Amino acid sequence: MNTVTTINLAGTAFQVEDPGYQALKKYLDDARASLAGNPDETEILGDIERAIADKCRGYVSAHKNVITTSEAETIVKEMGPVTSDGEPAKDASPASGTPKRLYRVVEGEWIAGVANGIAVYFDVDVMLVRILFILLLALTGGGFVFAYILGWIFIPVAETSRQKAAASGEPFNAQEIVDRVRAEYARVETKYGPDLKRWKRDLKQQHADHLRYKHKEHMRRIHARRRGPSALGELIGIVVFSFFAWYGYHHFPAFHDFLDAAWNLFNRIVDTITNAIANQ
Amino acid sequence: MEPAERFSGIRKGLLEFLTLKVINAKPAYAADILAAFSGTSFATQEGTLYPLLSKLRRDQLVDYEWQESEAGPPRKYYRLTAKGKKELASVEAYWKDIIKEVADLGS
Repeated sequence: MNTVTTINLAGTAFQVEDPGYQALKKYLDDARASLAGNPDETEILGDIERAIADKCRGYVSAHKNVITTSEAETIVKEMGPVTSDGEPAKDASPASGTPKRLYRVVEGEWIAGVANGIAVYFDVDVMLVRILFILLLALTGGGFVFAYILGWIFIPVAETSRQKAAASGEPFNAQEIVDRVRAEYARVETKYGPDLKRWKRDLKQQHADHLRYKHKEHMRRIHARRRGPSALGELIGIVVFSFFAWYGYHHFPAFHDFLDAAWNLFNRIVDTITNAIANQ
Repeated sequence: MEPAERFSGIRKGLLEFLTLKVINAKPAYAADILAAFSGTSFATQEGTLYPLLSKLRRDQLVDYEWQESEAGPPRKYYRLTAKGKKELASVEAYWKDIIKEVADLGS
């Protein structure tokens, strides 16, 4: 005696033994994964569900109103895996679950991690973004500072692991990883069919590869605390920055005044402090 | 490698063309199309056919209407569009040329 689950297939209720229900659920989940990005995804899934319902109807009668596990497995085998019809997936890179979010990335920041965060979001090198910022600074005669400060205020810092994962668009929670693994599994299943030896061999190899990968990931996480540029990168950055600062200072009066005022303020602060110390 | 294996890509590639042919002979339900293919080298499954029919409909080569049936819910009844008939005719002409070329090459 087994327990059953009642399911709704295209508007008709069927009672399926629980392992059979799991098989049907997996089939439909794999189908949905294959059809991700297909413009007719919903319609095809509806067709598939209707076809399964038709097959289920063939297994029930006045004297038997349950679909057994083996009948459900037969249905899945008859349906065959849902093939995407060769259309390229709409969005290849991030898993459909995790949206990419703009965060300030504090590891390896120069000032507030604004450039760093933008670089991670667009997946470009951080120095490129910094050079762009300096260009914008020169072009706007110093006005870009306000934009940067706005970014500093309004873009949140990526602190938790979940936020850091969202900053670079990687899948974070267990469900997303499971979905990815499921899609891989579906691909593997169609590749091997009944060839057990080859599957076992490949599985062992994949396990070894996976262990090596996990070790590398572990070491990478230990080493990758700082997401900073190399020493040469820093040097080039300082040279370029100084050039643009010098150029901006001599060619843009607004920037000139801004830097003078900043230098002035700095001097006044220093004087105030030295006076305070001298007058102790 | 068995000949059947060598030709698996070709059979897969011909499936769209042959589906159009089958629907052209007589408008059909998906189940009828599968029945037409079953027993031949092109026997296929629902998981392959439904995405394929969907693509043909997206390309406006086939269209469907819902047909009521006494013994169950309504089903999609497929037929070729005018564009589909034209496309089928041109593919069939191409197919005849290719067969001839294959026969002539190396003989």
